[in-house]
Amino acid sequence: MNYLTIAEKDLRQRLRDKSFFVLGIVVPLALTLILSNLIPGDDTDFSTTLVVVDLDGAGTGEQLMGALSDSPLEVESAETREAAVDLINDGGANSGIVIPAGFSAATQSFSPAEIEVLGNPGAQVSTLIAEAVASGLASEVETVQLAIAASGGADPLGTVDAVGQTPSPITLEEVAVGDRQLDFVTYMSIGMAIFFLFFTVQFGILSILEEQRDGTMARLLAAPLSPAELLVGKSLSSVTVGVVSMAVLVVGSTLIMGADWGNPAGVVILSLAGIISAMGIGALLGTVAKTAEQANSYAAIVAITLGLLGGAFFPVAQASGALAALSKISPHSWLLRGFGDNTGSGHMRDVLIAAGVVVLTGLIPGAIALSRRDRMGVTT
Amino acid sequence: MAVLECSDLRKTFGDRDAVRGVSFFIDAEETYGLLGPNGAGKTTTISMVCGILKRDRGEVHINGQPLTTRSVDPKGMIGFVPQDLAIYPDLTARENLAFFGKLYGVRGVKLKKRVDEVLEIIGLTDRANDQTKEFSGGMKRRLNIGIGLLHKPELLVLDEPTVGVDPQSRNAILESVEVLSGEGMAVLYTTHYMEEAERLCDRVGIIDEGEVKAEGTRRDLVKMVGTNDKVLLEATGHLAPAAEAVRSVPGVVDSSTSDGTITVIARDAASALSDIMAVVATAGAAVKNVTVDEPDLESVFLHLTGRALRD
Repeated sequence: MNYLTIAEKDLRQRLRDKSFFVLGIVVPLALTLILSNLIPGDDTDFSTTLVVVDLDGAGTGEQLMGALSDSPLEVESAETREAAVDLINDGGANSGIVIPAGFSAATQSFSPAEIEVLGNPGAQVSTLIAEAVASGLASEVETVQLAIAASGGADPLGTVDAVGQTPSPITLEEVAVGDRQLDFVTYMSIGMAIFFLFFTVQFGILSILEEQRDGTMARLLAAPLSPAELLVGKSLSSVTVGVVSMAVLVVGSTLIMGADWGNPAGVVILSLAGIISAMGIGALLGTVAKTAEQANSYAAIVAITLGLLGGAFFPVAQASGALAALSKISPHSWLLRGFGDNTGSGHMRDVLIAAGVVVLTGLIPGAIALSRRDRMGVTT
Repeated sequence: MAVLECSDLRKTFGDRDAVRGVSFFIDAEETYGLLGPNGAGKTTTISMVCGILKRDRGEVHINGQPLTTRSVDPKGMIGFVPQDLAIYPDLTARENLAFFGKLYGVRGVKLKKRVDEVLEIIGLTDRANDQTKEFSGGMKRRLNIGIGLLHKPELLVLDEPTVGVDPQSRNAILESVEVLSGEGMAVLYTTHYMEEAERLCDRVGIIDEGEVKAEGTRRDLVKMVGTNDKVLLEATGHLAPAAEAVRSVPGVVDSSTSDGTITVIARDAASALSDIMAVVATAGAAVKNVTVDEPDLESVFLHLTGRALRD
């Protein structure tokens, strides 16, 4: 039972030095809150309003508005170009299209005609959409002109009607969100939680080196306890810190920010997998470093690198090429993937696969560390 | 049966032989000192005795039970006080004592009672609930020793417990060790202070360069360099005739003069001193100062190694 005594002592120290509260709870929650408010996430409903000015009066504007009525765009009309500009400047619309007077007549006489796009520098996406709509309208006009030309000018109105029956080249539709896509608040909550989980858990296991630095390791080794009890005690305190930290962050981010962590069983499995990974990697770093200070520096560097590479802050896994492939060595990447599966598809098999990979990222370095435990002062 | 028996302990670090065949034993209620300069191999020896360090060769038995780094029961009989402070600064004195007490199997009411007793012994009762990072160096030292005592070990191992301690705390520590050895605890005490070894230890092992050069009681060791005392007389007047005359005093072995000093070698300076002073005065020399040098462990170390303890 000596391992419980060691774990209890370690936890008492962690609670007393406040590092657990700061790194395990306060900072991840605060960062999630700040980042999810600073950066508009992909969960934000995108909408844009297009104002149409029909100076032609020959029905082209009405046809265009009719064609766009089934799209996700909101469409407004304005009597004059100036009114449209005012509307955009006032925020009532994001971009606009001006169909000039004589547009229909010009197109039927094969004369040049221009469609004006009104853009807002602050809403570039909306401006691009307006340009696309204008481009689509121009293509349709060209199609009509080609059809009239091809018919040799016979029954031009019929030809126009026939072309009008063909589907509009302008199609805008909402694309379904993929199964693994997390909403932004949830993504940030999970990212921050696992990012800081590696700090809190690794610092726990590295306290073995602090015992060496403070001289207490000699006393522990002289005490009637086996090296295994010492390691189990140290690990137990790390696991406890990790579990409590994750539990508080899951509950906190759910209640405060409305994060959706998905199936609770999956959350538990993935959290434990993350803790095992952090412990294994931390233990290996402990056998590489020569001092407690050096070990803590290494742990911070590795935690930040793996966190960034794994997408704790940005979805690196969605990038292409070498970076995406490289991100797969990071347990954070697999944890995010697992949590994505846990909240999306809900297939426990996918969650378990991700958790299995994460556990391996801990067991492999952990086994190496165990074989090198003498370097941490745990003699046998 | 000896409480501690170790034989042929050897430890090598790289190319350096830190300990080379150290053997000694300690009986119950006996205080044994390992006296040697820094780097002599004292701490390495103690680390092997306590099962902290894996030895290359040799045997350690505690009350007849073999001890290795993996041992549990024999380690429970040892109370270890390391040279460097080994306490948790962010825990209170009471929490430090309770933690190590639990590791040695002391629990519940017995633990609480024993913690209170030890706090009393080391004089920290009124600071029991303060974090030790707020303690003075001397208070930390006392707590460091208290932790080793908590489970009432059969063998208390103290590794240079007075290094870096102020004179008042040092004296308190030495008094504590005297009390503990008086209560029947076997004590292994390492030091490079000759005075501490002479004051505390029933037997002393003189260690240098990883080897125990000699061991025994103080009297046994002093005999190795001879039993004669040295009397130094700073004087004026007729020194040479005085030195010649003093050889007739019973117990005086030899005498000589040099730089205003008459050096007299006597078997027992204390009993011969009055006769020596009378003869010197009669011979026409006026004594201004007298110094009596009795052989001590410092002399023994010098005799055995050709170096002073503090070299």
